[in-house]
Amino acid sequence: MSERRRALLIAGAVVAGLLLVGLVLWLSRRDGSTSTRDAGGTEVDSTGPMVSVTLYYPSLSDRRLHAEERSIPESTREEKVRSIVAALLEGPQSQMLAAPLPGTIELAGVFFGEGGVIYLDLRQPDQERPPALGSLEELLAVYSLVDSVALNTPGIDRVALLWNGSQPESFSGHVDTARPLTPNRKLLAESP
Amino acid sequence: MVPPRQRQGIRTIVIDPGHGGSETGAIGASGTEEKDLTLAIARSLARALERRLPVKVVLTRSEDLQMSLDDRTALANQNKADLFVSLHVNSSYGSSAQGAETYILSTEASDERAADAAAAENQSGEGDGDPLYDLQLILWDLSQTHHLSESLRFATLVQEELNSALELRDRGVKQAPFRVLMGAAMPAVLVELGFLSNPTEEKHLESLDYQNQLVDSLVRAIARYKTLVESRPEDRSGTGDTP
Repeated sequence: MSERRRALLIAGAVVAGLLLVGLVLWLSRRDGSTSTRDAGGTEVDSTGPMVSVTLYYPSLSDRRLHAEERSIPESTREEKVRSIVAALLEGPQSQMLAAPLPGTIELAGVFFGEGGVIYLDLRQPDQERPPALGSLEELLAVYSLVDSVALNTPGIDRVALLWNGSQPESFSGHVDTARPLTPNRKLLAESP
Repeated sequence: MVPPRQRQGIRTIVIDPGHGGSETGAIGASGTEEKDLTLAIARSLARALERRLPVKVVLTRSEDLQMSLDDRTALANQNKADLFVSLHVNSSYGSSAQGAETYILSTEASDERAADAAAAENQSGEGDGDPLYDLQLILWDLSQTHHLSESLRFATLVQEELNSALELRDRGVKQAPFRVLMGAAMPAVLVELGFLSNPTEEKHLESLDYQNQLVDSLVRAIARYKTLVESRPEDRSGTGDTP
């Protein structure tokens, strides 16, 4: 095979490869199946209907919970709660706010109980105890979760927080978490 | 024969150093742990109170050990304490928060817990016909609802003394659903002595002089409350309530 013929064959193969990649990309866009990440960082199909939720994050300066709007995919009630908690743990968009708990904490389970109670089972790999927090941090962390979940989920009136499957009398030694908690609107900053 | 009435007074005070053992509480930027500060200040406060006032002081813990929140209140109840003071050091998400704050149990938390107890009794039937169970429920309900106004009176004095000693802007007494204040059968307050998340305040809190200032403020507040309670007209109803 001559040098010229070999070069033509290689060039042809490269062009064919590029055409194939282009075709695959074009078909995938035409199909509309683009994927994106939801408020909690989970990869989701964003072409389906989305719903808006209001999340409440602790402030760095004023001892209140501040609202941030997010869009999450419309899905089952459990998936909605999982998206809300994931977004809270991932942190706020505003630099004036904070994630309520360290990002290494994860939601192990969601259970729906009787009488409008939801159980959120939290855990942190290799950590037997919930994180050490001051009372103000604990108050804002607990109600960041309670208010964000209860105020965005119809039919949920109270939120019980579990750690590694059991309900502690308090997460960090201050706030009573031994019973399901109702939302605390007094901690919410007034809307701008 | 009518039994002699015991005059109201502040004779036994339970001081509760927050946290302990593996439960460190808040941790400052330079590593100061809340549990160590609360224990040091509680010990100092106990010594100062017994030296300056005719009272018996009981510490919920006098060493670095873990203790449940309910056990702390139970200890106060078992000792028939007249006052319960839980000492803590705070931490916030930002580093600017500072100052001491005094908390009493929030009324919502008190009401919700009473409702929970009643609902649990109704649902499970537990305690039906058991006078001891009913009595426990009634005692619990009485413990905070009757003592909440006294807790507020005492907390106001504590905050006044702390504001004066530390030159703080008065932010008033705060209310929160703190577990350690639930179930105490006496006026109960939780004092946050400062913010470990504020590096300047962390340094202050570590200094003995600053700790002594805090202790002096708390002793003055307790002395004022003791005088207030003991100068009230004698209660003739036998309930211990003052109109």
